[in-house]
Amino acid sequence: MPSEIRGTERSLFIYIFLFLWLGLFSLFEAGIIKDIRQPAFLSLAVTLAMLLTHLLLEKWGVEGDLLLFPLTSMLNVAGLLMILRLSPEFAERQFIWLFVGLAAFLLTVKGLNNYKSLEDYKYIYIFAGLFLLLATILFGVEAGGARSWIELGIVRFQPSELVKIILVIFLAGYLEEKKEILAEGTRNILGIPVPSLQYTGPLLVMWGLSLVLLVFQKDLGTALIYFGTFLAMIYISTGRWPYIFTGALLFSLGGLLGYLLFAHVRVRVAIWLNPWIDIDGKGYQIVQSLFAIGSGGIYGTGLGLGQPSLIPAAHTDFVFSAWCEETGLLGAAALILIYCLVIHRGFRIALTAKTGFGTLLAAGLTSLLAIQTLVIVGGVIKLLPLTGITLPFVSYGGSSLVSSYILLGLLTKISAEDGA
Amino acid sequence: MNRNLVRIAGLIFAAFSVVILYLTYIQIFQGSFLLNHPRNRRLQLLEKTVIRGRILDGHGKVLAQTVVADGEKRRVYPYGEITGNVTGYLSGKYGRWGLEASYNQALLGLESGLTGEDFWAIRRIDTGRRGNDIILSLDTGLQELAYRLLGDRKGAVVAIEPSTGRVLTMVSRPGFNPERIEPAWDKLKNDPDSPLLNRATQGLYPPGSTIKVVTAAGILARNPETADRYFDAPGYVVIEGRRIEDRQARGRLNLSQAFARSSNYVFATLGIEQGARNFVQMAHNFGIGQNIPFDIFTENSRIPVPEQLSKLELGESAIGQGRVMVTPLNMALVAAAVANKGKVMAPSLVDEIRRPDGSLIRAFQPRVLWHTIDEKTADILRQLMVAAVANGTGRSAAIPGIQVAGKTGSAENPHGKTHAWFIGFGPADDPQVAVAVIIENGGAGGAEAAPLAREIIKTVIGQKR
Repeated sequence: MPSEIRGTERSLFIYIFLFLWLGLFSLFEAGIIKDIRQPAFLSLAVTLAMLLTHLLLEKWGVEGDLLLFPLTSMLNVAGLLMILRLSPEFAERQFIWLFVGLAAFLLTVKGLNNYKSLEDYKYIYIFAGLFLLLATILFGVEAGGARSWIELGIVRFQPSELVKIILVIFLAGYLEEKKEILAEGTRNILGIPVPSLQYTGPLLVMWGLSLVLLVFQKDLGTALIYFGTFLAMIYISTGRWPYIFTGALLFSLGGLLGYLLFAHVRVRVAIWLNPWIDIDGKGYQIVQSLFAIGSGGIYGTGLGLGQPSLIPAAHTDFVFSAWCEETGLLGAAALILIYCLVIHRGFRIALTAKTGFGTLLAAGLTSLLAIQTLVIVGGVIKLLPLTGITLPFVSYGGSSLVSSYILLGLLTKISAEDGA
Repeated sequence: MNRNLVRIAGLIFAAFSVVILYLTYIQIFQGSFLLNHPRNRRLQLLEKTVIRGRILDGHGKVLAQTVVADGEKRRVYPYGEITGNVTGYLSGKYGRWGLEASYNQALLGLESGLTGEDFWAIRRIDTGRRGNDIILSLDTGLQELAYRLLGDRKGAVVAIEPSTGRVLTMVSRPGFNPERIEPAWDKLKNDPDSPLLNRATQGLYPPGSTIKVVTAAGILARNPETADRYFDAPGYVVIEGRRIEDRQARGRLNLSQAFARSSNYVFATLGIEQGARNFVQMAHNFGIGQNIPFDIFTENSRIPVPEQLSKLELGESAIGQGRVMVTPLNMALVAAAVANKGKVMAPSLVDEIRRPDGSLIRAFQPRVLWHTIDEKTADILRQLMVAAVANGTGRSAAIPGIQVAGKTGSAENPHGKTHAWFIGFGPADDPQVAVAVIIENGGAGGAEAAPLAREIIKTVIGQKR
């Protein structure tokens, strides 16, 4: 190839493939994988698919960020190894979802002519998003305590994963358009500039609606992510702490109300504060998670040598606990550092974006990824109350993986257009 | 906008730092607790695939080992109830106790967590078959002797090497046989004599006159001339209206005579003279009221805070009759402190941890636990204790040709006859062993506990020569 614009990316992939194949070898040696043929075939397919994705980016001359895709691929490979290790019966599905995800990634990068055009149709997006959420409530099926899936023939998907991204696109567009008014305010209440209802209205409605929808779906984790991202974006665009304080206050009030009104919220808080009082009941999941993490120690048991199958839902919500058990504090810290690098790249893209919309979009998407990671990791280590959400790029789950790749595609697109 | 963005980014990275810090706390500082938690099934699962290591004494005698017969694993304890309080037990139903609990990880071959002993998990696949052996400082010969000498009486014997803190003997009677823990559980649990209680480390007793070592240390540290003081003992002592009889020590006595005859008058007076603050401080120096780090579960000795000690209580405490409660292990450390010139070495049961092939993983390192008194005070105390054995209440601990130092005690208690106490060490000029003996409701310490201590000291010295 004459023009090596993505050479760095290719050399980084050497390590990712090395990690994948060594991991596979470890699992085989540890006796977790009995029949190597299927996993080896899948891994070969992944190796080729990632390589192909890279070559296509090269061929199309995409000059976007060179670290993002290798970093998330590393996360993804760690996730695939954990799924092969924890629930091989789901492995094939997850690998297929990965191909779908890569396709969605390429489609976002190539198919989107100009990311700025997203700004033009923001109301259409948000209505589509709200419609999806509404449909989930009306026609959704319940799985794992949250009613957040839609069944489409053989495929089941979680609209809230996609809506997260739609929400960020909408907010970026809306805030960019209205940020002066939002920052200046039209009136003052107690010294705080308050924009008139006509401007804040749509924002409040959208935010309130998504929260209400989530209350009906009992999906607290997603509500937390929506809200955190919302606050981060408002602050970035207006630079006004009062929004954050008011927002946080409102959320705390909502939380308090939920605590007083709903028994399941009270139980959740009690379990968070002291899961040891009910090890066999409500506290079972988090205690098992802590057992796994603590048993890993500094170096971990080694891939395939721990007992993460003792953790319930180890391949989805608790994949991080399983990772901690088998790779120890070193592995866990490495994973977190990769997330930090991804987030760092994301914010860098936001800083170098040439338009306000681009900055807000990149920052919003990055905040979304960061907050989601913090909420689930904090949850399984008992730093925060436990919520059932996925660890981006690592947990089992098609909708989550595909929407994560769309997010990646958008970030890459912004960096490709505006140059880093 | 960019400045706001950088702030949000900073906030997010700070949150990630908190996550990593908390994770470090869980995986490093909470790791052992979480791994060994009885509800964590990991160790049980591992236990099925591992043959648990042995517990041995320094001469290679087996205290506990796992025997595999017909595919069934069985834990046997050849010394049964003689060492039961030290080895503890192992039961699927009732958990783990004693060394079986505190050295569970080593015995399963997991010296550094689930990783295996040298960080590399891959090792575990190769050698994870047998757990590691732990080798104790305990001498089973001495242990048997002490157990036999206690006979049917309830009580405890602790013998420690003063220069290192290595525990040579730790007996508690009545004992229990760890092999039969499951069938006998209900009976053991409900037995009024509490055989499951390790009296040596968990039994809390009033110290009786053995506390006078501490009282003397308190006054001597403040006022070394007290060693040359004379007292006119009336044969009783009245503190705040309460009269305590003291017939064995009447007349004009110097400090040495007062100590040798265990004068309540003199030591109650000296206790009040030094004041509650000093007395309690010195007791703390000797570990009373402090946590004693040890290989198996150990109760803290108790003493009220100085503000709570009335003059009467201070006087009573100074002669071992107040609210002060001590464990035999603690009193053995008091004797060892004097023997080791004021320095208390941390007590220890486990000398070595070895792999099944015999190679060493970890060896015991002596370390100073507390500095109690200076060398000069320790020297005066040693002379007082030598005199107490040579021509005082501790005469039955004397060994011909060897200087033994000691102090007797007969602790009054609500359950009948006094508890017989003896603490001491020998040879006085080159201490090889420090002992504490208690016989519950045994009567006078000099007559009942001292001869037992003598046999222990004699045997240890005999072995060394």
